[in-house]
Amino acid sequence: MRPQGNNPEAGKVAAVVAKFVDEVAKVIRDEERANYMLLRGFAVHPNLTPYSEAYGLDAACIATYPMYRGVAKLVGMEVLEVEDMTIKSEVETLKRDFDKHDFFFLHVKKTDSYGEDGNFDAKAGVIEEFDSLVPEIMALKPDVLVVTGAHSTPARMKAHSWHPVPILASSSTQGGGEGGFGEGACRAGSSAPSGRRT
Amino acid sequence: MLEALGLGLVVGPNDIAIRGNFATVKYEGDTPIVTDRRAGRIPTQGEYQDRPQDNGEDQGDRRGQVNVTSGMEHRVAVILTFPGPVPKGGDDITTPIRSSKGRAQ
Repeated sequence: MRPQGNNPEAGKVAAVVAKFVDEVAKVIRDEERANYMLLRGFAVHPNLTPYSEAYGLDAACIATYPMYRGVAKLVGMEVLEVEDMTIKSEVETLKRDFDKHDFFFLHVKKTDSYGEDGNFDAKAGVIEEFDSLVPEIMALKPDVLVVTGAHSTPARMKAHSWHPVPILASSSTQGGGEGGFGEGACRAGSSAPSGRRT
Repeated sequence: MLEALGLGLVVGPNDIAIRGNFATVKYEGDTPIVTDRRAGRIPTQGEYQDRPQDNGEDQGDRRGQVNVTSGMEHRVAVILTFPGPVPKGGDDITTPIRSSKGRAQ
């Protein structure tokens, strides 16, 4: 499990990382569960084009998990404070700041976590919890609402999977479509736009 | 990188940001074998940050720093600060994992 540099410069860095991991392992060796540290995703700052410059929109992020807040920061979104870890608080944040930005990235984490845990009922519960809050989002009358995921995490597989990721797009200028966004409709692969139903 | 930025850390040109997991290993001799790469998804235990410290060795201006900051559950962000800018390709590092499933991950 030694970090390996894939070129001479990275080799020097990997040697530092290996020493650090060894020191950490000594300190936490007797912990019951967290007795080792695995490191991956080594990265320097990529200096990406800011979202506002690329798309001309003032973007904000509403997320509870650090990684997604980090993604947002990397592309120049403003990361908004959320009171607690609940989806309800995320939606409350959206309502509070809806007039302050042009674009919102609102991330729900627990569908993926419960999928990885193989907990089907809890995963379904998170989706139902979000569903119950959709009317509050639609009441804000967004020009466009897009619902999608980064990947599938079937509870049966307890892992990220190869399954295609469905996208729902709803806008005030698009109509038609069947309106369904369940597993059956998504499996059918419909490309029809979903009509607005407010 | 994303974990570090999401935790509010600042990443500069001398830094390499690393995403980490606390994990459970068993030792076969001196060799750690991963039995749970998420350490049982240990609960988040408040915020922890081991701020950069002088490493205690007098190396003139060749002084590095390590910042360790806890994330959610088993996750952790580590930032290594080097004495100068990280050379191009310096972050091209892979870490093969030996697990009890018997395959490299």
